[in-house]
Amino acid sequence: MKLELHEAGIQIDGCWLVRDATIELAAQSLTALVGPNGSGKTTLMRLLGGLWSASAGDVMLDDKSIRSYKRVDLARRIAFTPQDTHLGFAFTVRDVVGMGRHPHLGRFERESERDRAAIYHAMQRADVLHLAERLVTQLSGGERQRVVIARALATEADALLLDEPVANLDIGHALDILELCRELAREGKTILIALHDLNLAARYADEIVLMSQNRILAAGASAQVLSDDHIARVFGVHTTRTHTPTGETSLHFHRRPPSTQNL
Amino acid sequence: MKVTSRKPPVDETTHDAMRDTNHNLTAHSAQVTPLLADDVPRSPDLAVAAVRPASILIRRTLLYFFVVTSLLVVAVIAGIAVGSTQVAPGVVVRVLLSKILPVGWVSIAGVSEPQQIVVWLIRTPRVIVAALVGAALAIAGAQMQGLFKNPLASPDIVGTSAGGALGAVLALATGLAARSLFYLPLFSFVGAFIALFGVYIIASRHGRTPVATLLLAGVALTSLIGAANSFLITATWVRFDVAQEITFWLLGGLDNRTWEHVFVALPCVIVGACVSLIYTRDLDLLLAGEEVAASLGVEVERVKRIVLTSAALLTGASVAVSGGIGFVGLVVPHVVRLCLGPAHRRLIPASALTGAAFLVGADLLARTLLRPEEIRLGIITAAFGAPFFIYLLLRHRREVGYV
Repeated sequence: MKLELHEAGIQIDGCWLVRDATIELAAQSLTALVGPNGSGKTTLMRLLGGLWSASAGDVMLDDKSIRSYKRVDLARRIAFTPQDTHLGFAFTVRDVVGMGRHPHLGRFERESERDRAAIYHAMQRADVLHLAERLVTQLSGGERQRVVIARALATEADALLLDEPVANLDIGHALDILELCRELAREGKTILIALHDLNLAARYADEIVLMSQNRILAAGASAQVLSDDHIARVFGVHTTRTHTPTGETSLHFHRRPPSTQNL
Repeated sequence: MKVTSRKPPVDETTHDAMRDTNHNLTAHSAQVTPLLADDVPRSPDLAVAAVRPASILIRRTLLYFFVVTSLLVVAVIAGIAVGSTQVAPGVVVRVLLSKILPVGWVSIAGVSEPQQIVVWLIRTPRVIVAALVGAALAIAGAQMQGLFKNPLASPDIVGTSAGGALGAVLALATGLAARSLFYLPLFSFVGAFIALFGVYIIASRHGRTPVATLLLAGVALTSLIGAANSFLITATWVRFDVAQEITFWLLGGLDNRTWEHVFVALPCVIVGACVSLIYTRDLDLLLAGEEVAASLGVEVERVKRIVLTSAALLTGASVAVSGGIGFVGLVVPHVVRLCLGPAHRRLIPASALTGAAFLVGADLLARTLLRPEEIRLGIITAAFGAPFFIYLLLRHRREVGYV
């Protein structure tokens, strides 16, 4: 599984939503996509997932242009979860996860035991088995997020693109989701996850891609990408760092330069 | 891709889970997903059974189909039996069977000639048209609600009903409808498709057709066409009796329907219904959002076009043979969804049956409530459909999800 962008860009109505993006998603790793609102994170995900086609450059899956794949073949390789997980119709959780089998089923084919096993494991992995009979309309935001992740897992795709999966979650549920993503990456999935919280990105991601004004500004290990200089340029905030007793580094952000006496 | 678990197994269950997942992954890396039975992880049958579709739902679905089919049969027989000349239900069944089954299997000796004519040439086509229209509108409604992700969408939302009505009104106003029985349905069909095509063109941009724009374009075009219809009714060069005929037609009705009407509607309804049944899973996925659907392998724009076309075929067929009958397409799928859930593989066939039973029943009421006067069918469907709909909304307020 190798998913990469080659100087890819997308232009709509004369406006570049993403420009000159070149990255390679490291296989079997967790990559965090960070950047301010409107910097092109979601568009980059759409490009990588083949949901939008590039107007410049190319998206390559296993050294072949993503254009040469059929929609359904892509769906078996790359799974995507949207930022908005709301579903207004009263499907059961099990049915929603079952939708992940769509790319494996022929038009008139029914779910086989094999499909059911995949659904079962996806639900088990995302810890939503106990919700199987519940209606998605009655779930909390955290539960719904886990359900859409289970749906993505049910496709058995190698790559998962998760668009801000923890944006609306409390810290406990957010950590659950990120732990799950890290485990999935260790088990062999290639994961790209859009995040707003730089601390969480630094802590969980193997690599970080920083976007600014529709371009990729930096990509690599968190220490290099999330430098004070980068953060100041991209987000317009000052950064201070503290070291926690557990040996982790914690970032703090300030609109104005912080007075050092307080630290 | 070789996957090795870097973490020592914490306990038996996680170990199992991890090994299972690894198992899947190695199988999957072979690309073409050679997912065969021996690849099924050795999870206990019970566990896989846990994700089996609920047996309660299956039983409920079977019960629903049984009840609605029985209602349809009863409504059809009652619809043929009841009227200005009463025919005994037994006679109705005998006449119908004698016509359907090979000659000589069922004897209709003793059934008078006029009774046979009433049953076979007057009431049967009317009831069949009612059933076809009810089924067509309900299917089209279910499709539109799925496509627009909005339980309040109805078949007329993309302008097909209005376009069909305008075509029919033109046929009536120009006097062509009086010349041959086929002009009105033909005009109506053409009108429905021109309207859909117009709405689709207006809403499409860069090869994409956002449903929100589609909806707004539909609303705009519907009012425009409505204005044209009103103009034609009130224009002085249209004779008064023709204008009244148009008004009557716009209200929807099934009076004087013949076998010709059945043959006009039947092929369209069959084709539309078959197409709708092929795309049920795609519609389910579209409810989860177009991007999600695309990421799961649905060719979103193609499915949209196909679903719109089949809905237009169904709506066009029903407008062509029955005029403007409202509320069937809105209420019926809604009721079915409350009973059987939103999955289209159940929703669409169940809506078709329910819509057919509903409209045959409504037509029966239209003919009998104020005998010998006949109430327009469109009035009955709205008068019964709307309050029932309100009742459902109040009762299931919390369960009905809105976008």
